[in-house]
Amino acid sequence: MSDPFNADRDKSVEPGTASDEEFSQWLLADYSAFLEPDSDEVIEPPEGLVQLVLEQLGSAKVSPGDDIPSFTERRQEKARAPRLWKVMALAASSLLVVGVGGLVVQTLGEAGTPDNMDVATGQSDEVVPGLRGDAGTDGLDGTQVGELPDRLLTLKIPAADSEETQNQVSRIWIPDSAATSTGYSVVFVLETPNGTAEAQARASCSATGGCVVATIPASTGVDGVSGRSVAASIKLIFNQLADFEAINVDSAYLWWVDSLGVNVAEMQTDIGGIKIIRSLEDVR
Amino acid sequence: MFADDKTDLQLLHDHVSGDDTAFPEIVRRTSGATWAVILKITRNEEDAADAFQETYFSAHRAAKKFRGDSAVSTWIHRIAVNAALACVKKRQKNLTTVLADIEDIDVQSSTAPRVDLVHPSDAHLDVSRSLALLSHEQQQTILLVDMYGYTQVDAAQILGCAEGTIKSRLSRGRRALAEDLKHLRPTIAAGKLESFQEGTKDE
Repeated sequence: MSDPFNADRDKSVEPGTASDEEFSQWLLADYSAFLEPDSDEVIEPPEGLVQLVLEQLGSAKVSPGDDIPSFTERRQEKARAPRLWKVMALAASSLLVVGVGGLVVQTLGEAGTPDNMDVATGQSDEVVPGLRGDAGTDGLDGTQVGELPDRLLTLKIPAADSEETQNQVSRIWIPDSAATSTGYSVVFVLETPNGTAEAQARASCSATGGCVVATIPASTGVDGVSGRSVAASIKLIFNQLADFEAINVDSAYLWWVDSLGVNVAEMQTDIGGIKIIRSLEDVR
Repeated sequence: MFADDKTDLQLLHDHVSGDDTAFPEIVRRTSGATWAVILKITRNEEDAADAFQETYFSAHRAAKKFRGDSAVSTWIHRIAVNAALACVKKRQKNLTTVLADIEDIDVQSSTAPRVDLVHPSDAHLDVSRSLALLSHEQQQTILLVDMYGYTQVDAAQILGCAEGTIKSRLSRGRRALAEDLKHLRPTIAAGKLESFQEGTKDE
């Protein structure tokens, strides 16, 4: 096979004045040379990666001509089976954010499905048992997550201004069901005193699968009473979630309901890429 | 004959014939070079690990179709480039979404890098990003013709389309790259990119 780009290089194309086509070709020739395998440029992959690949190939139990699960399909598997790993990664990464972003995983408690939520840490004013992931010290720490089948992750959001002394907490509930091939959708709900909206959202996500539920702290007033608007809180939370492959950043919703879980008639326009919905059926 | 004594091509044939020990040997032989090229493109180990896995899954799946017109290592190298660019594309897409949500951007300040501040090492990263942002069809066509040196006729055959389609994809893809990377013209013209390559080889 010929290498036309070496030939092109010999034509002494001047990148500064070349046509778009010539410039592009020159760039790609240079890039190709940059990527060219070099005998002295062998970097051993991280320990265990090769073994992991070989184990995955071995477990596929397929003939070479057959189809083995595509990368996307394996992503789905990853979303199903090793959710433990995913959540641990989420926790680790969020902890990493402490220094730069101000968000911290405060507790990691078991969430359960809406029918089985009484095992998580709770607050005294909790109406729906176990729905509240307390921001205190009652929660389980990250090292214990391996024992948990379902999980609730709480993100501690620092106070918006100096007058605020209480940190706010958002709960990220991850269902025990596989994400879609494009990842989990995110459903934001406003925290309410009785947790009705949150419970409904979890029930919906549990039934349909494929979405996580994130609460916007109750002290975040719609009009910014706490010093941080709903939009700003959503942005803080979403920016953390968007880092994770299992999250579909193109599929995020705010279910805007009142304290009784009833749709609010007057809708705002969408917030920074977060679509405001009136019904959980609109979550895709 | 032990696996160590076999060529890569023999191992690939053995793998296609059902020898379970053959493909792992190919992986072991090529993993260092594969990891190196993927790291060059992705610039982070997390994405690189994904692309690494995808590379060998794809190679495993496509082994039967390998035509033997290049070395097995070259074939895997090309699969690795594709897989790495796919990871860059995904990351770029996520980044774009997040950035779009940020309100307090000073729109008065240009985000385009000043030419004199473009570090040569960033140039290849820019090319990776720009390539990744092309449509899949344009990307594959440009990789085949402009990077791997296939003729347009061969590329049309490989991709199963008309030669005119190849010409069109090439033209549009090159134009898009040139537009996206125009800030590199002065850098490259000044020879800084070339000096960077030499520098990395010395490291």
